[in-house]
Amino acid sequence: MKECVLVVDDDREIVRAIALLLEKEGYKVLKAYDGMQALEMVAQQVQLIIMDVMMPKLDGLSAVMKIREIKNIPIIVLSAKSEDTDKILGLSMGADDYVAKPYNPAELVARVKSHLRRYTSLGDIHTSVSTANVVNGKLCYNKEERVLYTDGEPVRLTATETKIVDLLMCNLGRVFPAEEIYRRVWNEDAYAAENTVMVHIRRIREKIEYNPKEPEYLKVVWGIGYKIEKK
Amino acid sequence: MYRVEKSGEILYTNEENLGFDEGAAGYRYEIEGKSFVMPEGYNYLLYFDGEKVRMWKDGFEINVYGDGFYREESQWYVPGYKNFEADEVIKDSRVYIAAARMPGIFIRNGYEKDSNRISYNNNQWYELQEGIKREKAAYLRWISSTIFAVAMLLLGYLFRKERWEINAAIGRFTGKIWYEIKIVPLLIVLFGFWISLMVFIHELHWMGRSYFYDIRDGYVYAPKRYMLLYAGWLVGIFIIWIFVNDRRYNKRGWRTSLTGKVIGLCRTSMLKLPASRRMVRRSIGVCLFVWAMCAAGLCYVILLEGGVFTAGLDVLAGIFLLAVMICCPVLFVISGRKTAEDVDNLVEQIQSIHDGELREEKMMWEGSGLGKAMENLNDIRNGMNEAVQKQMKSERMKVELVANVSHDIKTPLTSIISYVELLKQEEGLPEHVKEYILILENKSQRLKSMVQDVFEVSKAASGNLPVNLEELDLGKLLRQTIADMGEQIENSSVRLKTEIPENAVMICADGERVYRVFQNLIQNALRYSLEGSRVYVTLREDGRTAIASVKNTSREELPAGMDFTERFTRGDESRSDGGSGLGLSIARSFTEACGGSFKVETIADLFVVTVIFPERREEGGMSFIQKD
Repeated sequence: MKECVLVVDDDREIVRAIALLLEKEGYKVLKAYDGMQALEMVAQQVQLIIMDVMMPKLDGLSAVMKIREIKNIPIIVLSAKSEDTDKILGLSMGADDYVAKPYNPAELVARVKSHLRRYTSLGDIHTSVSTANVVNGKLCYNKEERVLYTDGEPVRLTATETKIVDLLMCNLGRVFPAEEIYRRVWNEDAYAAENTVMVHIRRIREKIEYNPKEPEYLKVVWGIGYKIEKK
Repeated sequence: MYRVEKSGEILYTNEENLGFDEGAAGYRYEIEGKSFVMPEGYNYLLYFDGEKVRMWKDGFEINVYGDGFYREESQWYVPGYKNFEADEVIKDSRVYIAAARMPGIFIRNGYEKDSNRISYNNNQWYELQEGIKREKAAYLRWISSTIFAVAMLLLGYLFRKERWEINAAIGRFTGKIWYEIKIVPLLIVLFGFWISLMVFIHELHWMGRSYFYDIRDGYVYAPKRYMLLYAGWLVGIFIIWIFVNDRRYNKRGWRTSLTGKVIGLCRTSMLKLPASRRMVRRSIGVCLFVWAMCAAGLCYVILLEGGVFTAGLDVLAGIFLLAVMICCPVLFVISGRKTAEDVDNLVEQIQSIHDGELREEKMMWEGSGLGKAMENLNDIRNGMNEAVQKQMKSERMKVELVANVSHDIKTPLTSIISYVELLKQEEGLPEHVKEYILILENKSQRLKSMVQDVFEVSKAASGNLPVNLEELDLGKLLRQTIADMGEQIENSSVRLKTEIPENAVMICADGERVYRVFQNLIQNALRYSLEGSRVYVTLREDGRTAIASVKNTSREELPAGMDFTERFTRGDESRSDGGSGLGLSIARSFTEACGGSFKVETIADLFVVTVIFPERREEGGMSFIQKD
């Protein structure tokens, strides 16, 4: 049986569009058009909620807070507000993810898949934590096997990419200048390091990020270096 | 050593310790059956038996009387000569006198029995001996003090570092003391030295007559006075040394003086004090002057009239003078302070308006004379307040409007993008429909980025752009940006040439924003450059600023006199290309938000954008690398 997703938005066309997208992927979709309706439907067998913020009767964030009191399922907030402060507010209210409108449909689907996989098949994140594993959000890196997993699925990386990932995952949040990455991965003196490193960074991003153009994990710290953000 | 007997009784003797007895080891004489033994060192004995005198020296008896007659040239003036017989009175006397070869002990006093007077003339031997002793002691003193002085000098040399430290510490301590306190003892000491020099000259002049007495009185009988004198000299030298030390370590020591402070108090125009304090201080100067004049007057009266408080009138005059002297300046200061406070109030108010505090209203007390000025100031402030409020309101409305509009555009845009995506996934559509869908997708994506741009520009224009300033290397940022855009650059028809120094060019800015600036600039350059031409990205530093520039040759003819950073401005008026017209505007807003300056120049078809940031620290040499 496929998972059931509840889509809440006051714009019926958007709800329908999302429903169509998700149904294509084989998910069962429930629709609600305001916060109150959403609360009523949560009681059913729902595994994930996509929630708009600005809605009549009960706004999205309040609905999220109410749902959090009874359910522990993933909630993706969908909003036209794209400011950092809005995102922080949404995430601190209990949402698991925040997607700004206008969203990229493929990205939204990828996120839904990712959250569901983690919620249903991977279970509690802490079960996979061991000394050999570095867990960071959806990323999990096994130091012994030198394998990177996103949402539990191994990512196919080249040898060089693996070395870069190894360096960055073992030093989460630390910023590495391109020269240092070059020296430690290629074991050579840096020459035109910035270009070479950036090419690999871009390729890794394509493999691990939802939207490689707006990376969430592998980030450039402009004017300083590169890092994998600690989640 | 002597013994005088009368009728068998000893009258005078001093032989308690020595004695003419058996225990001694000197010469032995037999006199009238008694044996006399001289103590060691004694070689001379005189014996008087009441009639005659007998003498022994070195064991042999001396012929005292010769032919028995006393003459002028006789050696001994003793009774027993034929013409100088002994008195009846002393017939039953016996006198023993013994003398040592070398004088050992000395007779302090002579006894003369011719009258009641007993004189205490010092024996000549005694004087001599005392003289030798004194000289010896003086030499000893001189030698020991010389040794002491040399030892002290040596010690001072050995511990010179410690000495310097102590000197410096003393200098630091004395530096804090008012200069007058230091100079008064110095003057006293110098005066004392002058006096003692005068006395010395005086003594030199009178030396012939009074030297002996002075020496005797001074050294022998009045040592205390000289001790005081020496102590005084020592203290004087110490004070001079302290002063010299102070001069050495406090070059501008005269600044910490009472006089200097008073002058500093009076010369307040240079000081950055509130106006009121300055005014009060200025009046303190006047007060001091008034006080000085009054005091001078008082002194004059006292000196000339022989005291103020003698007659009733003088008492009145004195009290009056004192009252004037005390009250006048005090009143002056009080009234001055009031005016000054008013001025201070006013100045404070102006300052607060200058600082942007527009709400608080202050009033003056009624009779201050500055009330009108304050009222006017309040009016100005209210006017300004209103204007600022209006401006802020309209700014806020503008931002809100843009935010709302962009939100309102985003919702339908979301639907468009979603359904375009669905359409794209639709199968079995004719080729031309698929082409239409691609166009739809492209345009909707552009619309999306434009909405975002408009929102950001409006925020930046209203000054609401949050920036997260941090230190970063602008050179590295440029290299990163170019690397990040590598694909776009490769796919474009132009070549990118960079000239970026290897060393760090540190600036303080928001990395994300500056990245957006250069991303926009390079995108612009790629988009509008003549095909096959080169785009130059350079970074220079001139010690204080980091100057980055992007130069490209325009494909189209550039219209002269156009402000490219205005919103929605583009080189071609037809607006048919892919840009939103906001790129440069965003770049300028972001640059300015990060504290940099942004400049666009056009020279014929050459399009130059210069971004200047203040540099964080000075870098040494510059090295350039050239790469394609």
